[in-house]
Amino acid sequence: MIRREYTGNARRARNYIWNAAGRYDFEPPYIAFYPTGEVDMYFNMVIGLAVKWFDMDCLTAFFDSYRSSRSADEYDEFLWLGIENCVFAKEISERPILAQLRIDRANDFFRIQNSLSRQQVEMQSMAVYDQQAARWSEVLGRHVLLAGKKRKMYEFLKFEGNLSTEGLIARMKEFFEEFFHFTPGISEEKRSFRLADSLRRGLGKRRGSSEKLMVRTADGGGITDKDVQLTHTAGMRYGFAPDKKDEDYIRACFGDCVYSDEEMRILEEALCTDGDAACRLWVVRPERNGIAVGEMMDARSSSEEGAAPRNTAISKDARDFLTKSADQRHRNEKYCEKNALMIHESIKRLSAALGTLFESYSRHLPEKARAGRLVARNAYRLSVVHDPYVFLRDGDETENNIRVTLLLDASMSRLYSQEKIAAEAYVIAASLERVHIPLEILSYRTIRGFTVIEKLKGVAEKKPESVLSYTAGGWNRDSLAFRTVGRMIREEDPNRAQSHILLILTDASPNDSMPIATGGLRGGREYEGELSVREARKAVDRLREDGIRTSAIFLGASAHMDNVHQIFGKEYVRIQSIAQLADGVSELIAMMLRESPPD
Amino acid sequence: MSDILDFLREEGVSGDLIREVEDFRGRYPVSGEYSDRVPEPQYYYYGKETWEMALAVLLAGRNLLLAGPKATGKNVLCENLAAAFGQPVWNVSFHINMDASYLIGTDTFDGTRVTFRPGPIYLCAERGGFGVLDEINMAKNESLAVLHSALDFRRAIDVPGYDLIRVKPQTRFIGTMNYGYAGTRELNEALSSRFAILSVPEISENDLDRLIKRSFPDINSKICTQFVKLFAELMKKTEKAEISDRALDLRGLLDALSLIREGLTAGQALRMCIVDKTFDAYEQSLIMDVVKARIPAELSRAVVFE
Repeated sequence: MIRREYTGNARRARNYIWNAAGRYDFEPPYIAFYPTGEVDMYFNMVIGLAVKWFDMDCLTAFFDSYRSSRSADEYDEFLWLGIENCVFAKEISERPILAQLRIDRANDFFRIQNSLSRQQVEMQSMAVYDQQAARWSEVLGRHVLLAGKKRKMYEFLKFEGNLSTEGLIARMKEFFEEFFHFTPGISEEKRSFRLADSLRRGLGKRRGSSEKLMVRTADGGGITDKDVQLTHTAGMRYGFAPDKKDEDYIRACFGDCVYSDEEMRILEEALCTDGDAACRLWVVRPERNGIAVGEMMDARSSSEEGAAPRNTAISKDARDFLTKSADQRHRNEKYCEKNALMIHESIKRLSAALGTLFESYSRHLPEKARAGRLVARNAYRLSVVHDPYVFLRDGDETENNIRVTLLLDASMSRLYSQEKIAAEAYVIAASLERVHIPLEILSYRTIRGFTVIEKLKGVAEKKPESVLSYTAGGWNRDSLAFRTVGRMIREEDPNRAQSHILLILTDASPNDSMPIATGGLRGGREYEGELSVREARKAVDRLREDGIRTSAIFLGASAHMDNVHQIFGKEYVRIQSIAQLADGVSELIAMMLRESPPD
Repeated sequence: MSDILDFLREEGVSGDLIREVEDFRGRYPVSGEYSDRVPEPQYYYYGKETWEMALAVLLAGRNLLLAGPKATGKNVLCENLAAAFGQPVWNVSFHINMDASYLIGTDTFDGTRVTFRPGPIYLCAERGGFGVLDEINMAKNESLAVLHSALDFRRAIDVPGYDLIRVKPQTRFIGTMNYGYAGTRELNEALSSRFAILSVPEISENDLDRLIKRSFPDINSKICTQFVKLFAELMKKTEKAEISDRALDLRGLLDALSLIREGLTAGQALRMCIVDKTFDAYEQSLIMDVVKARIPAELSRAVVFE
């Protein structure tokens, strides 16, 4: 069965295709799976061989030309059966094992057919089944039981091994005309795409007290080309400073700020300046880790009751957020369970790489020895007390002075990737923990003018799983969040005794509903696009000037590659799957340490 | 094995260079004491152009740094060069805790007084030969600063509190480095400027085919081609970062063939020598997929060797 979507074992399937094609610079137009979900090795090789022997752009254009047909999937199956015959003939001399793999595939076909449920069998196209069964019977040297039109089709689908791309397309056209009286037409996909696109563009988000923390569900594994794009609408051009109602909402959603009012005033005076003058800050330690959401809501409700008249709209929104974020934690955990093997392997690899890396930058504490650097003032001991230990050498004990802060972008643009981000952050956290590097995990988002920094894991805590309470929702005012985090790092290490590394998991797309304050009468310019990227860049430069090595783990869409480069320079790494984390993150940290080794 | 210079002639390496190498051998014969340090290569390095560049650098009295990814034959080339020049080898495997005292020497107490125990670089400089600085970028740059005077025009090592050692005229230093290993560093300019840097290319399919056939003259030619293509496919997969370079192991491929000759099936031998070189279960499955798409698991000695 050939499908157009990537699922589960997609990387493995793609590797079959790339390997057979002999190149890795393309995204396969198809990948093949058995109905049981196993990767179909042989057919993926066939797809790769088709890329090797034919011009795949032309073939893809041809496949697209009948995509609007209801029977498109069925046609795909027929044509790939034809292509299989053709590429087999082309490749067999170069790769003799193909004959055996073909026989294995034929055996697999009958094995899997026998194991299918009745419903699965009923869902199959009988016409396709007949052709496949005949093909694989012949491969196994059995008799082909087809007659009439089916037999004719069977013979037709044995595309010859001497076909060129044009020849193959001509054969496929002929196939449609002969057996379906149908000429593949122009793709309708582009038209429908444009319509969907304009519909999407028309939908904007409004700021003000209607702005809610959006929490959603999808597979959470990340769909980079479908990252949520927030759009400002004309009606929200002028921002307003957050008021008490907004603060109540933030408090209801995230809990009390960890700093006192006086401390917050000092922090905001120092950080909410210039373009961020109208913004507020909120720093919290999430209590929802491990606490039943019901208890939490009860607690919040009682505190709200005592404080001010309850606003039911706020309560409902906050309640909604709390419920959904608890659900999200559950989903994050499920995702980790489902991908336990891959996560475990990634932790193993990343911690091994980080171990070597940090070891090379750690200081070896000197110890007394019988050979090494002579300590002149102790030399007398040799002859006077016959003590040969008057030398110093590098001992086995090391001293590591590095501390890492992991900052997660928790804005709504990460909506489709929440589980994946949580899992990736977990891999990084668990790996650093294994090599005994102190780690703090923070997340940031901006909602109703408040930039909320959540301390998901403190330096002293030894539980990387607390990162699984990560939930996306809201905007991201990167510049303000980065400055705040820089300030927090410095507050905790005022003597600059440690070397700080700040890793930011981001999609490099800063965007906030609160405009950039200009001090003029007409409010400010929107915090989005190039302007917001520039602001973020300034914040990153400031962090680096302050001695905090800052770099990004970029998880976003290709469209934002320019942004990440502008904000972080060359100090970023793009990660598209958890399996890439170990190499990516260790290389990134290696680069940071190389550029400016710790003191 | 025949003399390596005959092999160089077969490879078509410039006759002038080979003659100069013979002169070098004549000028700097090895004393019996160190003759067992002159390597007798088990494998030859294939690649005429690389050979010519390396020979020219060493003949000109310069030091050579071989840079390149894994499985390009850097160490084989080092050994082959020492064999070609007929010089003893002083091997130093660099690691992250390497320091000056390890390279040059250190103070020690011999029971009656503090004495100097020379390190491999000191010995190489003093007694003559080829110093092989393996994985030179694994060490911290600052600990390599002691090598600067030995590597540049001064050709001397001043050991504080002891002697000034003049580097013998036949002494050469050959460094090897591989970018990308966890823990490797960028070589600083001061050090890299003291070497002529030769980027060792990945072995070509044709050269690998010859290498296998020279090591296993009785291998079935068609099957040899499949092993060569398997290695090329792994090389491509590594280059595209789909797998790490752990499984890209030329020695492993040759070892696998030796094991097949001993009676293991191809599947067993390749699993031990290639697939299981990585410890990541998922990566193992990707490598196994490449192997399965080339070499039948049950392939036996009788089929592989004629």
